[in-house]
Amino acid sequence: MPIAAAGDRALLATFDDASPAMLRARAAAVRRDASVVACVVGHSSLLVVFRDTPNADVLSVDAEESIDPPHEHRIEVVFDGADLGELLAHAELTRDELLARIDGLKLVARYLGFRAGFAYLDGWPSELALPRRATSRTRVPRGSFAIAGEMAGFYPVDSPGGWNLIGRTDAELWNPEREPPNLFAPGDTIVIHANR
Amino acid sequence: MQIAEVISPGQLTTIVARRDWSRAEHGVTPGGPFDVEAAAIANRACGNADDATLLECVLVGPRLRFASRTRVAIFDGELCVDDVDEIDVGRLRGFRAWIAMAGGVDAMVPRYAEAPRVLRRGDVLSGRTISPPSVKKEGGLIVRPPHEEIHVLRGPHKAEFQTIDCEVTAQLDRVGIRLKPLSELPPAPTTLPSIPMQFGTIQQHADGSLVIMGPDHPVTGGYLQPVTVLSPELWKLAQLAPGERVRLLV
Repeated sequence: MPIAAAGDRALLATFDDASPAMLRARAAAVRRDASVVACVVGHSSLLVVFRDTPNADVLSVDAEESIDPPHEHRIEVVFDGADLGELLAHAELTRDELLARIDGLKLVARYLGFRAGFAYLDGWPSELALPRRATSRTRVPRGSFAIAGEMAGFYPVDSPGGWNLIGRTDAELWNPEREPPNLFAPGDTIVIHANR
Repeated sequence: MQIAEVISPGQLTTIVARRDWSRAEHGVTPGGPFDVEAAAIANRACGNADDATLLECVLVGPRLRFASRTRVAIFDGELCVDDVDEIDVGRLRGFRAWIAMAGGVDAMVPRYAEAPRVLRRGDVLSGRTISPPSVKKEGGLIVRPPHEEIHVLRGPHKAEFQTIDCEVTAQLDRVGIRLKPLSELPPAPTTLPSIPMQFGTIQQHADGSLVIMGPDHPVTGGYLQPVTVLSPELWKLAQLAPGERVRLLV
C-alpha cells in the first residue's frame, strides 16, 4: 500500500488489488478516527484529509465490508452521441452491431466523483474502449452517456467534460430535492437498455 | 426569517457555508469559503462563529437592504464593521471579499455546490438575527503578504516538477483556476486512474495547462497531480485574477 503526501494535510494511499467494496469499507472505518476530516474513495486509492499533521497509522484499521444490498437500475440509452461515429470506426462495427453488443450490458458503480452524482462505471468492454479526449468540451449536456478507457459514466448535470459522448438517457440522475440526490450509489449495478 | 433583500447582486455573489465533506461519497464537493481565514475575520467581527455561513463576492459586491438594523462586516483586505439598514459594497479592494452579518445567513438549499447558483436581484436572504455584542469591533487594514508566490509540495503523484512561473487565465471560478505555464512542462500521461482531490490540488492537463482546484473542486480527477498547495497558502488562491503572474514554488 504505497502512501504519498498530498499537501501538508492529507495522504493518498494506493491499493493495487482492493475491491471497490473493500475501499468503501476501509474509508468508512478511517473516517471514525477523530484526527480525520475526510476519507474519499478514488479508483484504487483513498485520500485521507487530516485536521492537522497527517498520520499514516489511521490507514491500518480493520474494515468490514458493508452489507448494504446494492441496487440495480435499468437505464434506457439512445445511442446518438457526438463521438459515436469515432467509436464505430475504431471498433469497426455498425451502429446495429454495437447496439446488439451492449444491450443488456451490466456496469457497476465503482465510486462517485468529478461532479455531484457522477458515478464511475466499471465493466465497459475493452475492445470498445476509447481514451479520454485530448481537449475537454466546455459543456456536456446532462444525461449524456460517455466512455473513457474501460470506464463509462452518465453526466448527471450540464458540465464540462473530456469523455467520449456516445449516447444519452432521460433518467433523472441527479435531483437536489431528492434524498439522496444521486440515482446511482457506489456498488449499484446499471443495466444498459439500448433504445433503437 | 427574512433578514435582507438583494437590491443588486454584484458581480458574482454566492452564499458559502462551512466546508462539508459529508456528501463526498455522493460526488458532492465540500465547498466552503475560498479564504477560510478571511471568512472567520468577517464572522468574528459580527459576533458569529468563525465558520458561520456568509456571502462571498467577486470584484463588485452586492447592495443589500436589511429588514432591521444589522451588524455587518466586510473583509476585502480591510475590515469594515458597521450597524446598517442598507449596504452598497461596490468595487472591492481585492479580487474576492466576504460579507458576514450578525446571526449568519441560512445556507442555500439546495447547497450551491449541488445546484450552482449566484445571488440575483430580488433574492431574499434568510437567517436569524442576533443582537451583536454591544462593543463594536474596530475595523482596519489587515496586511497580508503578496499572493503572487504560492508554495507547493510535491505529490501525490510522482512527477518531474520544478518551480514555475504561470499566467492566470480567465478560466477561473470556485471549481478551479486554469494557469498557463510560461515555460514548458514535461509531458503528462493522459490516462491515469482517477484519484480524490482537495482544495489546493494542482492538476497538469494533457494540453500542458495547470489547474489549481478551488473549494468547489470535483471530488475526484483523472489527470496528473504533480504538486499540492500548502494549506497556509490556500487563501492566496482566492485573490488570483485573470492576467496576473504567479510563481508556484516547490
